[in-house]
Formats: sequence, C-alpha cells, structure tokens
Amino acid sequence: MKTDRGTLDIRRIMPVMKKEFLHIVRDKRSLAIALLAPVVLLILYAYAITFDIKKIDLGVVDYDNSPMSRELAQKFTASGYFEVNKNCLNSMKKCVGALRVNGIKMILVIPRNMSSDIKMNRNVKLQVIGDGSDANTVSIGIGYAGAIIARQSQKILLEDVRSRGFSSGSISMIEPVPRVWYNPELKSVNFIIPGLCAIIMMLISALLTSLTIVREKEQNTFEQLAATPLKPLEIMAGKIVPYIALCLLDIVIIITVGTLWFHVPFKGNYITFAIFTLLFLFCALGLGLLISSIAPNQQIAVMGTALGTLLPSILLSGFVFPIASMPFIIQLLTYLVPAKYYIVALRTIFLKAGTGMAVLWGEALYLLIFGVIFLTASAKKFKKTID
Amino acid sequence: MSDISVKASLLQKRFGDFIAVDSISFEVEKGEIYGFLGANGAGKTTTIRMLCGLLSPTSGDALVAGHSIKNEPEEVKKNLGYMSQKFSLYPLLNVRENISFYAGIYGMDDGFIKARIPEVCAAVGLEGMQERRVGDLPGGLKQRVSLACAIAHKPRIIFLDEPTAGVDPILRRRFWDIIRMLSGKGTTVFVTTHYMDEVEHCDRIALMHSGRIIKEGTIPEIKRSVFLRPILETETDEPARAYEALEAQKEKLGEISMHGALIHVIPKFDAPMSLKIMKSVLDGAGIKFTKPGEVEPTMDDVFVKVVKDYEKGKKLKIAD
Repeated sequence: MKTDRGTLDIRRIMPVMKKEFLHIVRDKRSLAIALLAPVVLLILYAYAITFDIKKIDLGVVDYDNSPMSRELAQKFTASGYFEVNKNCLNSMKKCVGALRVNGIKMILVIPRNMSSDIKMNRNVKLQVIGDGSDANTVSIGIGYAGAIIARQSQKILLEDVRSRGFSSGSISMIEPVPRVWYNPELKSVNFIIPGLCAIIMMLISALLTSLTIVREKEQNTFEQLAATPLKPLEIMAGKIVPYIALCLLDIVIIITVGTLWFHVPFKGNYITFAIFTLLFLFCALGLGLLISSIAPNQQIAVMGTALGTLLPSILLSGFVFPIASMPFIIQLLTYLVPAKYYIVALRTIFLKAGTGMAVLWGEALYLLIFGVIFLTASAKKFKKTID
Repeated sequence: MSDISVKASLLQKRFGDFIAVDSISFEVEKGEIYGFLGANGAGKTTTIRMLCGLLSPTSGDALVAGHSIKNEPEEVKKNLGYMSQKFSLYPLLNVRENISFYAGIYGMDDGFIKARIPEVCAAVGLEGMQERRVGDLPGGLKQRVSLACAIAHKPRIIFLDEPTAGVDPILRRRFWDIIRMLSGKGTTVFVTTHYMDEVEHCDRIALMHSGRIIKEGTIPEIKRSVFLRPILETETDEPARAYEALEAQKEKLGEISMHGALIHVIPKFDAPMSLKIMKSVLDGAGIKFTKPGEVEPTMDDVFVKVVKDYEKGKKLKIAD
C-alpha cells in the first residue's frame, strides 16, 4: 500500500480536536481525574508525606540524676528534634514497653555515675536505643542524638580546661559550619513539588490519552475513522492537543498552589521550564499512545499505564527515593525513565536562580530522544492497528 | 468510463491459508444500487473493506471512483461514505455533533456542514432530534444516525455493510426508501445483506459464496438463467412424507425442496409432464395435497439452487 505521509490537513484535525474536547468535558470520570488529581496529590504529598523529621518521641532514663545529666536531657528537647515522653521518665521498664507499642521511637539511657566519672576524667558511654521497625526516622534520630551529645561533650571539655586555669583560646578545635544552599531549610515541599509536576503529567497525559484511543477501538469508531481520509498522524495530533492543554492547565494549578500556598520558590527561567514541560509531555503522550495502540481494552490500558509509566515515574525517577542509593542494575534502569530527567531539570529550575539550557541541555536531549522514539513507535503501531 | 463507479478485477484477499475473497471481478455503474448477497462468512465484508481502502488486496485491484484501491487508497476514501456493520458513533456527542464530526474529517467547511445537517436529518427522519445524545437513542435511531454520518459529505459512492441487520421491518422499508432516493440523485450504493427479500430493492446483485461471486445480474436475469422452467408448487399437511416420496423419484422429477408446508419441484423436463408425475407419486403415497401450480421462483429458491449447483460443480471438479 502506498504511504499516506502527505501533508497534515488542519481542516481534518480541527474536528478531531473539537470532538475530543467535548469528550473530555462530558466524560465526568476523566474530568475528575484531570482536575482533582493534582489537588489531591499535592495535599497528600505536601502535608502527609513529609521527610522533615521533627519531634521524635523519646524516652529518657536518667540513672545519674545530676545537674549535668538533666542539662543533657534538656538539650534534646531544646533541639526541637525530640520530644520527651513524660509517661516513661526514668523507668527502663516503662520505656521498653512504650517502644514496643510505638509510644516512643528512641530511648536515651544516662548511666549512674556520669557526672562523677567525668570529674574523674573517665570516659562515659551513653546508650541510645532506637526502634528499627521505623528505620528511616530512627537513623535520622540517631544522627541528631550523636550531634547533640558531641556538642555537649565539647562544652564540658571546654569548661574543664577553663577550670584548670587555661584560657579556652589556647585550644584549637575543628568545627564544621554547614550551610545548605538553594533550599536552606531543607524543606521537603521544595523538593516534592517539582517531582509532583512529573507524576501528575504522567498520570494525565499517559493515562487519559491511552484511554481515549482504546475507547475508540471498543466503540468500533476506529474502523469508521480508518475509512475516512483522516491520516493516523492527524488522528493522533487531534487527540493529543486537548490533552496537552489539560496538562498545561494542571501544571499551572500545581505551580500556583506550590508557590502561593506552600511558598516553594521559583527562581529559574520560565522559558526553560516551558521547554522542559513540553518535552516531557511529548514523552508521556508518546508512551500513552503506544500503550493504547497495543492494549485491546480499557482495563489493560489502565494496568499498562500504571505499571509502565506511573510506577517507574514514582519509584525510579528520584522523586522520593534517591537513585544514588539504589543497586547498580536498578540505577541503570533509571536511565530509561523520562521522569528522572524532567525532575532533575525542574528541581534545578525551581531552586537555582539563573540556570537555563546551558546547564540542562543533557536532560533536554534525553527527553527529546525518548519523545521521538515513543511517538514514532506509537505512530507505526497505530497505523498497523488501523490496517 | 466515468459511468463506472466501481470496477473490480480479479480481486483477491488471503488471510494466511484462508482465501476470504477469491479473485472476483464486477462493475458497478454510477447511480446503481448494487447488492452483495451471501451467508455470513461468504466474503462480503472483506470485499467492502477492500473497496473502502481499509484492507489491501492480496492480488488484483479495483478502481473506486476512478482510483486504484491498491495504489491510492487515500484518494478512494475521499469519495466514499462507509457505514460499518456495528454502530460506530460517539455516544457522548449528540446527533448534530456526530454528523458534523464525520463531515468535518472529510474536509467539509463549517458553512457547508451547518446547511447540510438539517438536510441529512430530514433525509433519514431525524428531524427534531439533533440535540439528543446518541448514547441515549434506541438502536433503530442509532442506525439512522450512522447513515446520516455516512452521507453527510455527499459522497459519490456509499458502502453499506448490512445496514438493516437487526432492524425492524418498518424501519427496513424506510431505509430502502432512503437508499433509493440517494441512488435517484446519482449516488452509487453498494450494499451487503443476507436478507433474501431485500435484494428485490437492488438494481443488480451478486451472489457470494465461499469467497466467489457465483451469480451476477439483475434479478429477472438471474431468475431466468437459474430456472429454465417455472417452479411447481404444492401445499400439503405432511410435507416431510411428501418430500421423501418425491425425492425418491427425483431422477424423473428434478430437484425437490421443502419450504414449510410448501413443496417446490424444479422440473427437469417440461412442466405438464412433471405435474403428472407429482400427482401420481403423491396419490400413490396417500398424501393429501393442493393442486400443484406454477410459481415464480423466490430469491430463496434462487440462492439455494445456485449454491447447490456450485457445490455440485466443485465436487465434479474434485472427482476429476
């Protein structure tokens, strides 16, 4: 059969766009997914799933019960990272019980002779017990505890030196002065919202696009379309455009809520942002079209998009789980996840002023290549479906 | 040349080892209603799908509106309207939106479409229903909307694949009225059906059987060519016994077939002679029957005879 590559005719694309748009507006389920998903996901991720760990419940067993030990325990509370549970103060038994039923996450045990041992220049060992069933919280908590104890130990050392008649200035010490750039408070919202843009775009573009074509197969309208002069690319173009508009609307919602409500800074360049968003949209739409040309019905299309696009975008993109700490093989897999590049680019654009294509061209290139591959593959497969 | 709308030459479609359409050739003139008659699986739909540019022929070719379906399927598609067997409408759109969508993808402009919608709605009897959602319409009305969509862009040829399947008799009549009106205006109508009574509406028909056209022509032509002599008919209370008795004498009589309480004999020799034999056979068996008379063959008779003859011919060939 002769190819029908010829020029695309906007006169034929317009009716497809119009029809698709009417379908979006009239299909209440799709519309709900498209407009509520960004809001629900924003609230879920920005409020419920926060990685900033504050006020870890702590039990304190102070066998020493001296001014020095009380001061140390007080430092834990003062740091803001811990909250001492009043119910299990000074009873190892109660503390262990509370740890088992998740009343507390950690226990600080101060040994009996701490202050006297220090006065006699003997080393002291403090016990910090953590609940390993909540590994994430506890490993961060142990880090905080170590820092608080080290600081207190340094203070005691300096006082001791001074009390022996030396001036504290005669002792040299190395002190770290940490300064976090671009997101000084390490707020996870700043880090989540760019990732959320990627997830929501995947959801809307891949899922809804895949459904729209499968629906045509189920309605038998596909064969009818094939008998008209409409070319496969015209069908695709007409179908894609309304969903691009929908995705862009969602992006505006996310950015508006993110910057105005959650105070996420947007320091970068809007044009770079727009370029990346469009590039990523092409990837996501291409994937959606590819899935829908393969899937025979709507259920399989939904499963396919969930497993093939949404899950990798959440798990393997660095959205939540750091890629650097994944096994090597999985790290290789992440190169195949378009969301990874988009998220890296977006975090950079959001948080770092003055960065543009000069820095991010690599990510842009990856997205472009993926987009071209997906769209070409789906166009080929799409044509076959019609034939 | 311009009077020929469809010209198929040795059109063949093979799916693996299965030959769905076996080298068929035919011509359809402009403004003609051309019927494809055959059982399910005879190859009617495959032929229509090739003619619409949906399937590429394995070999052979056809010119539809002057364009080759093999080399210019896209040009072919511009000139035709197609109504497939199943409903292919958008349930969330209303009648007007469906028609306007299909007219639009044929490249019609908005002005044309606006003026055309009331016209087609009137033609198929959908007045006052333009704003109804298609998903809410009953089956018969959906069928009309499908037809309206297929003719909205004023195609030169329309292909209707079983347009009256599952439609009540009143609506079927109405459909054929519409089809005749279209043909009167110069539109060529290519229609498939398996209702024998419907083909009477066609100007010419082709009988399809296992991928081949085994008979083609106008209905009187076909009837005359199939039956050299008029059919003899008799009505009886015991059709099964009568059939057995006559079948035993088929060397002398010809072909016997049973149609409810009616027995048809397609005589081998001249009619008066055969009538005599029929009477004596049935009297001999003690079966009551009405006076046998000569009747016009129905399309059922034609179809059965043609298929039987074809199968016989095939067996003879194999035996050779």
